[in-house]
Amino acid sequence: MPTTATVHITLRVLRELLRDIPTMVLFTISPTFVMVLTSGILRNHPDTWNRVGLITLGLFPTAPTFLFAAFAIQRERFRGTLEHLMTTPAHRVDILLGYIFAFTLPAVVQIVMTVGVTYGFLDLSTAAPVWAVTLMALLSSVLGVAIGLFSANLAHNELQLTKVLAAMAAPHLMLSGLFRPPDQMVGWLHALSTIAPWRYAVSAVSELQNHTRPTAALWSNLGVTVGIIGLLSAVSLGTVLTRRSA
Amino acid sequence: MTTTLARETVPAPAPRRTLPAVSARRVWSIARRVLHELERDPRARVVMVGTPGFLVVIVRRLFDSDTAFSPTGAIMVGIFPVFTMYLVGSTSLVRERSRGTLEAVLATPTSRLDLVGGYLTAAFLIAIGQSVVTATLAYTVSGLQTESPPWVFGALAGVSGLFGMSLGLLISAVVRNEGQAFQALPGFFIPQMLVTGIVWPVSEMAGWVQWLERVLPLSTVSRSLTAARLHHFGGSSLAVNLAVLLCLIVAALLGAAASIRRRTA
Repeated sequence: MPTTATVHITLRVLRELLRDIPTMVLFTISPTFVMVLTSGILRNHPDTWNRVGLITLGLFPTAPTFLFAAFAIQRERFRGTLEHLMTTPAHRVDILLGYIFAFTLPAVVQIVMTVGVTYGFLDLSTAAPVWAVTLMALLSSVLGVAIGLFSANLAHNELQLTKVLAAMAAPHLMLSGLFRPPDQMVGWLHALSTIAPWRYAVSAVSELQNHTRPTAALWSNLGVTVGIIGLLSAVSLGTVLTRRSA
Repeated sequence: MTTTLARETVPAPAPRRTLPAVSARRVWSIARRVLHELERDPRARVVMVGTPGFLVVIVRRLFDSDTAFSPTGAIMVGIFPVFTMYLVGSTSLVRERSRGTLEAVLATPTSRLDLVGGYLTAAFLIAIGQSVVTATLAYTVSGLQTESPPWVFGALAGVSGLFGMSLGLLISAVVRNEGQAFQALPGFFIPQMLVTGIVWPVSEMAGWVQWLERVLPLSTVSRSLTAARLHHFGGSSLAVNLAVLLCLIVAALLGAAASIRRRTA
């Protein structure tokens, strides 16, 4: 149910993003750079490159949207703009959707660039078609916005948020299956990885490696990922996106 | 008689008190202030001690044996302080700049050398504290094996802390808010970390990546740590890399000190 308010909020957040040149450069260029770097690091291990490269490609969009959405919403909350927005006819669903759209649009540019470079120059081979990988990457960028908005719950200002993001991201990356697939982890680590939201998206992306057609595992992991996005967004609606005053 | 009179009427000017550029008392009070600020925020404890400790334990489980983990583990123990101290240094100083506390501090007898010294002292102490926790977990729970005794890694972690802090102070001059300071972590440090061989060995990387590894600043830290792991007390490789690292720290600090000044009158 996107309304005019959604469109306005989307445009506003987008304008703010576009004004911030360092952020935009980091947002669009750095994933391509990391892909090139990773392919160089794994030059002599084509099998590992195919696995890690695909996961990085499908999931890298999560990281920047996660960071930028978290800081953007935190600034709005902290500086009082969110309160102002709430006094207008804009509903908090508008704000949520506005944020998701505003971050997904630059993510599309970023994903097209990364996918193009990776399949064009870096010899990544996957069984699934390129468009499936692109769609997964797009879903991950939405996941990033959802986690980002949610994590604003855990901090009162931007200074605290830097610590929350660092503390969340690092263990998450290790547990997600980028370095070792979850089913090869020791029991307790495997159990721990079930609560890492990112892990299901990683599993879904990994399915694209060897299967040309969608598998049951792909669907179930996709379902869980969409569920996580919905759940985190619902929690954010009730906590982050509320009026504090009167 | 006349001279006494003159002395009474026109008192000799009191020698002008020149403040020393750096005083231990002022440095320590700045350091205490930084430490106090961190102590108040439980998130800071998590990111400084909790997360690194947790990572040391879980990353070991991503490897099959203690021997396979040791190259990664040794680098991890020593390199964490670069990230945490960068984070603490850059974001705290950006905040001081944007909130005006920097102006207030510099309006007191505190010089900018005192300020930089205070931040560095705090970074060194936290880095040592952090490495005590990570090294203890790495050697006991995760079975890290090194040629040098554990305290060498603790000392190197202290130097890494200084490195991270000096980079953080330097970066704080060019960013506008805490968010931008934070972006340097994924944008600048993480790519370097991948190249240092923390996950995949450097010797197996493509030629141009190996060349990149030789020139990136963070490699001095990882190379020092690898040297300390392979040889008793590190040998010449540790000495060379440590010397380069110290030069980098001094250069970053000079840049940082130059950028810290009062904007108002």
